[in-house]
Amino acid sequence: MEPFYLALSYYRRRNFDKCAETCTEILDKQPLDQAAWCLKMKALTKRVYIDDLDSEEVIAGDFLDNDTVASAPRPGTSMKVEEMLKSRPRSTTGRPISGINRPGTQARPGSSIERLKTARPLTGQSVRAIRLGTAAIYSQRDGPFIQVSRLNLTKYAKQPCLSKPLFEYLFYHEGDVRNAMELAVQATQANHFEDWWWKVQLAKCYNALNLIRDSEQQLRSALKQHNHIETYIRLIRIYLRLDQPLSALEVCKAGLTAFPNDVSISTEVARLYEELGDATMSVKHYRNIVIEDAMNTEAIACIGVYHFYNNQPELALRYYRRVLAMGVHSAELYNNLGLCCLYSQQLDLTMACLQRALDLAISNQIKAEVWYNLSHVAIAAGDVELAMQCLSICLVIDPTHAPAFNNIAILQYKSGRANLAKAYFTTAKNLQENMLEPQKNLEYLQNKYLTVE
Amino acid sequence: MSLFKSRPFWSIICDVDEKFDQNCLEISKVNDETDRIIIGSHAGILRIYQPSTEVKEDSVISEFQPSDLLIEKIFPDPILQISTGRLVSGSTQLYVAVLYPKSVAVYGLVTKEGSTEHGTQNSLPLIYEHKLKRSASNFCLGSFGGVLTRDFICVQSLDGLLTFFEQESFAFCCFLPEFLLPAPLIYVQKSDSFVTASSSWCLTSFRYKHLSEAGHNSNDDDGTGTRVKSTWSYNMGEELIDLQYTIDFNNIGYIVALGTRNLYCLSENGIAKFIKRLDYTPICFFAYTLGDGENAVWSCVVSETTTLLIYMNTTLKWAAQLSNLPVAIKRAFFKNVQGALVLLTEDGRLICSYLGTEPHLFSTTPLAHQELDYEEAEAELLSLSKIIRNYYSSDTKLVNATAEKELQVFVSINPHLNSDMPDLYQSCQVLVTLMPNIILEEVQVSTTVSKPIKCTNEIAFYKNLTQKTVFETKIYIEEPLPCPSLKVEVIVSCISNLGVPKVIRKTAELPLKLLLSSSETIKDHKHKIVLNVDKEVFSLSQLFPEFLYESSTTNKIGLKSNTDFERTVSVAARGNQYQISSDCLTILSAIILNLAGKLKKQGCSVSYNNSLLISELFLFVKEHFDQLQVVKTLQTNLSLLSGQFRAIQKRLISKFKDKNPTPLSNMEMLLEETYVRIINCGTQLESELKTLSKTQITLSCLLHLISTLIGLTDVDKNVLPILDTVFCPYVLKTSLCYLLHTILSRSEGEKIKITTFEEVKDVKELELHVRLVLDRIKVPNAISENPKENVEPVIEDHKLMPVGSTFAEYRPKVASAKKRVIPSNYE
Repeated sequence: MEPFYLALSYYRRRNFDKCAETCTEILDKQPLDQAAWCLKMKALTKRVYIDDLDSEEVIAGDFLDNDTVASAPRPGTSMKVEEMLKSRPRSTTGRPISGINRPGTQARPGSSIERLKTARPLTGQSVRAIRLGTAAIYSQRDGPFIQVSRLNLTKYAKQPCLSKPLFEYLFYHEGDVRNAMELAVQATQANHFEDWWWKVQLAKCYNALNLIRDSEQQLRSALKQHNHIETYIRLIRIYLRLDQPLSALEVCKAGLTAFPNDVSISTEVARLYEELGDATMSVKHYRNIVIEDAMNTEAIACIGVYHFYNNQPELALRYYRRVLAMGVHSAELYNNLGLCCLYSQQLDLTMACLQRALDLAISNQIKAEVWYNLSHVAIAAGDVELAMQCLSICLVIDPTHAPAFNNIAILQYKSGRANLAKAYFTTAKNLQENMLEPQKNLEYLQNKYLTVE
Repeated sequence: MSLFKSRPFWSIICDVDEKFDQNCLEISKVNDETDRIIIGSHAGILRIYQPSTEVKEDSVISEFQPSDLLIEKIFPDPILQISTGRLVSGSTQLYVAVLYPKSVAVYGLVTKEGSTEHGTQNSLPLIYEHKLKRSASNFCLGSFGGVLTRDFICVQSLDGLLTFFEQESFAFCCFLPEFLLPAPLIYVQKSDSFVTASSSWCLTSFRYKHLSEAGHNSNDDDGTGTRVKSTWSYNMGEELIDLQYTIDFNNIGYIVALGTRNLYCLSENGIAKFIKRLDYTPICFFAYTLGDGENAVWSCVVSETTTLLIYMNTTLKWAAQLSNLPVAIKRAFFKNVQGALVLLTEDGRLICSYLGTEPHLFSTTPLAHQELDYEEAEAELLSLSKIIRNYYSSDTKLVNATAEKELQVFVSINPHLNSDMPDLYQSCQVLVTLMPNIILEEVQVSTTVSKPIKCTNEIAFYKNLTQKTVFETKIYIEEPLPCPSLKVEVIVSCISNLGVPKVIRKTAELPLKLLLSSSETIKDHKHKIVLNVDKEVFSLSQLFPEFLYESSTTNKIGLKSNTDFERTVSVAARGNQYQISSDCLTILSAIILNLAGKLKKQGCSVSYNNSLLISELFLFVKEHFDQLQVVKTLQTNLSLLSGQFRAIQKRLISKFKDKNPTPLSNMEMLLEETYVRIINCGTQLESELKTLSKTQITLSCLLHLISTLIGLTDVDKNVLPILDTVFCPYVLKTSLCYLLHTILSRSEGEKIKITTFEEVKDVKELELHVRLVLDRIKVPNAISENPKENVEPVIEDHKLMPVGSTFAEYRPKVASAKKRVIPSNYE
């Protein structure tokens, strides 16, 4: 069979390593075969490709960052709302939790993160790490496939068939944003500013270089030419980065008019409302998502969370069981199931679920959360000593767990050790400045002592 | 991940080592009313199956039977694609077209009815074959040009040449524009055009008429010819995986394209009807419409996680887990089974399945430790909680006593100095001997000394320590500065093989010789400190043998500093008093500490009754404070300047980005000017920091002296260790406040106040605090009261101290380290 056809077939069957190998053989014979060169480039890109919309990696601020965010925004126009205005307390990562009891929502059980693990095997890891790894392997064998510094980007920008794969290669495989941007700039010009795709890629580069406003401009211009879901989502993300939830909502609305009921845009809306603390609207959108895509675990799990915090643990339990039936098998899910069981008085299942959660928990954060929740089981059973021990284990695993410090302080106070309680409260307060409970408790303690005197 | 699982009812494995691709599966009603499955592999084997799908008595569909395989034929060339159509002139029957790399051939399926029960006999005679000059990639069939009764073939080569065959005869060929890699090609009947994806990731449509106009009839292609114009083009912005055209009941056509991230549905004229973003990696798909008059296109998409997702337009209608990951999926109508899924995997597993509506129950693996003996567990819990409770109640004994048993640490200091160091000063050898009694996984030894003294070897790390090990370091004086303390602290932290971390601390005194050497005795000194002893004084030759060479009985020795020759000390013993005098206070700290230690070793109690050197202390504090202010001003200056520098940089960049270029030279001047100022400020800061560290050392000398003297006065012994930690330059004020609020508090209200770390703003306030603390801990020069009254509450509170005191110690230090950049060794 024709080797090139074989390479194409390998590529189609997602056997990228073999495809690259076959292309290398072709290129050994015919070093100037553009098609084989392009295919190899594509295969190498695909091998490390990650949907960068899924990997929420925000590059740390450049010192030439021009965008200052208002420190005192008008109410409702910023995501940095005062903590006390929100219905549920939040954890450090910004996902809703409750000060007293919480399902491990930070990781969104069976939601985006879980999906990353299953649907796209590569996305679990960080973009950079993979890129570096593969590039290194290839350079060992026979030098780098493409010497980026020796590329004549202007020449390639004018070749529509090569420029797009080359861009993706530079952006995803090499991780060379600057050269990729150079190519994108040239190609946009070569296309007389008529190709929306190049504008989106330029926006991607600007975003990676922290030039958010330029990125916004490019995306807006791209949307004028062509309606595409990806463009809308990128624009929404830009506004989220700029902390302009209202503009983001505006874009969402425009996107939903162009693509009614689209799941990805609806998810953005629902997450946004959740961030803004509007649980009802958020759930409304999550419900719409479930109607459109009954397989969406994130939506199901979030509706479950909503019911949980609305004091309907039985309903929440049903949603989580659905997620479980769909085959999600994670510590967070079992943790949530356990809590739902606890609060819907199905105590026999509580321990079994939480035990499974402990069994499955790998990361320290989740382990700490499960132990924290176990302390609530103990409190519910009236076993203060066990609760203390659960909290102690939680703190051993995660010494920065402020709510655990708070609760341990309360338990210490109840057992008559006010001074120790004070110390624990202070620790909790220092660990998480904006947490209300330790502050209030400390004030209470002080007032009490003052009045006694 | 889905609730349901697809249920295969008919499957067969082509067990020869064969490979299949997307185009290798075709469903067609060749010579029959029900669908037949045709597969052709890259190994060149063509097979036609007709699943019998008889329903057995127990309403189970029959599985594969040998008679289901109608024909199997091996061709010498690999089969790239199979399709069927009315390809023979004068016949409306369906013929099988097979694409080989270098030719396209049409075969007819001939079925001979057998007379016996052997069944039918099938053969596949070749009708005609067209040779191709260029290697083919794929082809498509259709009634091009609007001839509805006949099907033609259009072959796309690997390099973008479209060759058209009107049944038995060659029609024309032409090149596709902007071609690099071949993509799926379909024929859209309604608009009589071909749709394919260009290499610039656009879906492009070419009218058959335009192609034929641009094409040339000769078979010898020269690669030139007129450029074909596209009728429309849709920019997908991603690669095309598969492309399909389907017409619904109302004769509305849909072009369904599967990209790598999205599913597109377009009308014949290239207008998007909908886009569905896929949050998984799609592998293959199949689109169809139902004859129920609903304007909907159904698409079955297979994801990389072997899930089949069925969408009606954009709405997910069904999802089912597949047993294998297919490379091609089609829908077929068999006898008794309508709309079955036909899946072909890469290695030749052909599966027909239906969507099972029975949810498959997800069962988890049982936990390893499920069965619990409750009584036993309770007993274990009780014993464990007893241990834990013991641990909790003995909070103060956090330092593990067993640590010493596991690892014995000896610190020995060589009393003889050697001067092999290249520097001016002599060095002293310190040996740390580690004697492990168990296996220790990791051991780290570190030595710390106060500032002007330095170790050659500060830290050592051992792994899997099992035998006696000696850690050696040399200690010398680095800079000609006074030295607050001659103590060397050895910290050994280890992790045992059980993973238990332990810390052992040892301190040792360095020989005084390191710092001082003997000199002439000088009388009249400014500062005098008198220590009282309860016994007769020991002769100085007993106490300081190193400084008195001849066994003289003199009761007075003169010493001078090694580092700063101006400074001299004299020690005199008289009656039951030792008098240490010097013209400089800083040097006294080390010698008094040494002397007190030696006297204690001899078994006599030492006391000090004179006034503490408070005024001198404040002098030094003031000096340190002023120096700190200087440093702080410089730091603010530096941060201002760097802010300015950044602002100029930003402005410069935004000027660069300006559309109308403006000269940048003035900006450059500003930038350079700021740069120079930053550098100047930096060098100044460096020198000031050096001065600061000098004042720090002197201050620390004095604080050490005072805390030693306090120790010698009549103070409650419980407070002493705390006081030791208090007298550090940085945390002095906070610690003092803390002390005032806790142990030394006079009222309950004062006790509950929370000590926060603030930077010292006013020396006066600090002075006040120091006086207060000294006042309350009852140094002799304060007003005398009955000591017992005050001591009692102290003891009561002391039980709760550990947590609080470590806390107070800990936190302000971290904060101060953050606030100030100066490395401070005193903390």
